[in-house]
Amino acid sequence: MRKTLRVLVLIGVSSMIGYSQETASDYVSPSEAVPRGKAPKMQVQLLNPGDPTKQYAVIFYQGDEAFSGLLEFAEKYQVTSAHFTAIGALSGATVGWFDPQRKMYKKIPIVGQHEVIGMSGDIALYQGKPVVHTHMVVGSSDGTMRGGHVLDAYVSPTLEVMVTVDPIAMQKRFDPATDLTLIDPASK
Amino acid sequence: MSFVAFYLGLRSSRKESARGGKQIEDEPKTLVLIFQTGDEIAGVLRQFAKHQGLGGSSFKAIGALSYAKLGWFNWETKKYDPACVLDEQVELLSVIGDIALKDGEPQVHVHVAVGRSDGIAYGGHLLEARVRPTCELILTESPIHLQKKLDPESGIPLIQIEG
Repeated sequence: MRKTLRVLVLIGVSSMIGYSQETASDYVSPSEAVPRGKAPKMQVQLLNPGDPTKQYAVIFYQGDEAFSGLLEFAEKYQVTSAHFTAIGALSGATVGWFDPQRKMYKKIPIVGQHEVIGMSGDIALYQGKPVVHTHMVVGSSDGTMRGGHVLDAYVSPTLEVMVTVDPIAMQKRFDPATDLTLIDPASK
Repeated sequence: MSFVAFYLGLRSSRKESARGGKQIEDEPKTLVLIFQTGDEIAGVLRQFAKHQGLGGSSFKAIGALSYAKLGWFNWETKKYDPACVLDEQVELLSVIGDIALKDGEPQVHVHVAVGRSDGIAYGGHLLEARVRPTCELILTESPIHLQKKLDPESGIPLIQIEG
């Protein structure tokens, strides 16, 4: 009985120590001030001076590969500037992780049925042609998630993509530092 | 139900239809829904969509929850299996959803990602989510409605675009 009590006391003390190790610097107030001047390279482009935007529902079905499908949508509807979000489910996919040393995407296979928890992306022009850039997070049957840069996505049973097309084109330029095409608000 | 909804009305324009009375929105309108502690998101959205006659909407949201139940579509049974139940305070990292009509009734489809106190995230098809302390949802309603029809292959209603 005494031994049990001593063990309980020890557990109590160690859990108190565990709590006290979380110092004040581990927490932050919701009203903490946000600093300024820390994003000196940020650029802004007006995409809609008040003209109406266009909205499309782009719906994919069983067996469709959605990434190439979105590029075909952009080409067919002559999209020069757009952003989108999507939900749905997939039978499989390949996502990428950008390796800054190799300047390449490492392929991550997503095998089997997954929910598309969130897909978001944009469409901009590179050398006059639309380019689709999209990332997604997918969830497996236990709720755990993985995600990355979308390389391909095989739809099962549907993917609902809600696209907003803006009237002013977004241009991309080649970035030699990363070998990527990046959106460049300065270029016309 | 303690949520608050209001229009961000700058882009919306209204006119009377030729048949009189009924308003037609000929441009997309943006609404903000602010949920409060205790609100259940899926149920409130269903009621709100029905009440407002929303039928061609997409939305996103962030916030925090005291309880979340997430589903995963099981292709074998054609049903949503419960992927995980989190009976604890979580950040609502991402909410993406849309609303379409099936037989005239709005169907709300929502996927969410939530973050636990260690930063690990879980996600799935929204089955149930109780708000604490807030959820900020921005919804765009289009003038043209989307229609869902039962898809025999998957056994669930999917959005069908009329030719």
